[in-house]
Amino acid sequence: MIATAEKEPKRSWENTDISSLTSIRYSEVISLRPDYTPHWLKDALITLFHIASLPENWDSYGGPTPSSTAVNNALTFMRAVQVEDLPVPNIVPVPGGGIQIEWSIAHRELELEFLSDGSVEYLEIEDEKPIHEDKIIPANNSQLQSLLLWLTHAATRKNR
Amino acid sequence: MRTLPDFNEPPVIETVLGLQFDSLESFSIPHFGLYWSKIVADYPKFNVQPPLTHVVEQFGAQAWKPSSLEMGLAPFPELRCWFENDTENRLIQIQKDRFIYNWRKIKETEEYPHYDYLKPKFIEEWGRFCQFSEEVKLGNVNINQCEITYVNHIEIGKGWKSYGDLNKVFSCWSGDSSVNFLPEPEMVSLNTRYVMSEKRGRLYIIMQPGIRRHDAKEILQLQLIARGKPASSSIEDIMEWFDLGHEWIVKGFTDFTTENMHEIWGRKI
Repeated sequence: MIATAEKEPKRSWENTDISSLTSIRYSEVISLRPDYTPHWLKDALITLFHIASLPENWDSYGGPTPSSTAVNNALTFMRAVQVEDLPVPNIVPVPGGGIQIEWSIAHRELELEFLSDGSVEYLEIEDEKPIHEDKIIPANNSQLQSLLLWLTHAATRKNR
Repeated sequence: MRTLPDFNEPPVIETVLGLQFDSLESFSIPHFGLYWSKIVADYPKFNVQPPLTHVVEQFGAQAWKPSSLEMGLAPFPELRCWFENDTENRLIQIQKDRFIYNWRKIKETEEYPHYDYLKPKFIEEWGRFCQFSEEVKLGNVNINQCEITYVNHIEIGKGWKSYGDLNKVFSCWSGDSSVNFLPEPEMVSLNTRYVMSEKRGRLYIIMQPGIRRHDAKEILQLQLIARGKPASSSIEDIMEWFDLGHEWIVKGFTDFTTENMHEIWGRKI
C-alpha cells in the first residue's frame, strides 16, 4: 500500500536556498524545449529538485534525504510523460527516502511512489476510494501510457 | 594585457576546447586504458559515454564530401571516455577522432579561470596525448576541426523575471509586437549561427531554458560554439584558431547580450 504523504498547505522547503545542500554538479541542467515541454513540467521539476535536496530529518521524524535513485526515477518518469493535458502534479517526499507524484483529474487520482530501492508503486483512486495498486517497472512506457490513459479519461467519464 | 570584453562575474559555467581529427583507424578499446595509465595520477576518475558525431563545417559546394558516412559493420562499439580529475572540474574526453578538454564549474563559489589560464593546460594535455599517440603508433593525427564552446547560465531574478523580459537580456530580441495581439511568451528558445570572417568557421549561439538540478533554479542556458579548420595540425595553428574562436565567442556573447546584463555581470573592459 502506498503511504499517502501528509499534505501541508505550505511546503517548508520551497523557499529554502538549497545550493549548499546538494552534491549534484553545478552545471547539470534539465533543458526545456518550448516545442517539447508540457506546461506542467517546469514547476514539477523545480519542486522535485527542491525535494531532492532536503536534509536528513526533514520531517523531524528522522526521515532520510530522498535517495538519488528515487529522484532519478521520478525525473525519468516525468520527462517521459509527453502529455500536455495534465495539471501540475503534487510532488511530496515520503518517509524512507522516496518521492510521491500525485495527479488528480475530476474524480480520479493517480499516485506514483518512487521508492529509495528503485522500485515504483502506483495507486489508482476513484471517488476517493482506492481501487487498484501494483508495482510498475521504471521506464516501462506501455505501463505508463495505460496509467495516464486511465487518469485522463476521468473527465470524459464524469461528463457522461 | 586583456583587450577583449571582460566581466567580474561572467555567467560562464563550462568551457570546452576540442579537436577533431581524421579517425585513427588503429585506435581500439585497449587504447583508452593505455592512455588513462599516462594521466591517471591527474585524472583518476573515468566515465564511458556514447561517441560524438563527426562534424565538419562546410562552405559552398566546393568542399562537401560525405566523409563520415560509412556503411558496414563496426568492428567494435564506438565509445567516448571521460577522464575526470578528483574535484571533477577538469575533464579530458577521448574518442577515435576527438580530443576534448573541459573546465566545469562544480561549486557555486568557483570562479571562471579565464581562457589565458586554460590555454597552457590544454597545450600540455594535447602534448601528452600526441606523445601517447606516437608511442603506441596510432599514426598521424590530422586535425580537421577545432571547436571551442562556452556554456553560460543566466539565472532568473538576475536581469529577467519572465520570458517577457528577454529584451532586457538579449540585444537581438525586441519583444515588440506589430498589432499587439500576442501575449507574453510562455517560453522561448533561440538558435542562431554566423559565418566567421574569411569563412574560418561558424559561430553558433543557442539559448535554451532549463532547470538547474543543483539549486532548482530556472535559468537560460546560453551556449556559444565556434568551430572551424585550423591552417594545419601544428600546435601553433591550432592555438591561432582557438584564439580566433575565443575572440568570436567573447565578442559574440557581448554583442548578443544587453548592456543591462553587462552591468549585472560587472563588465570591466
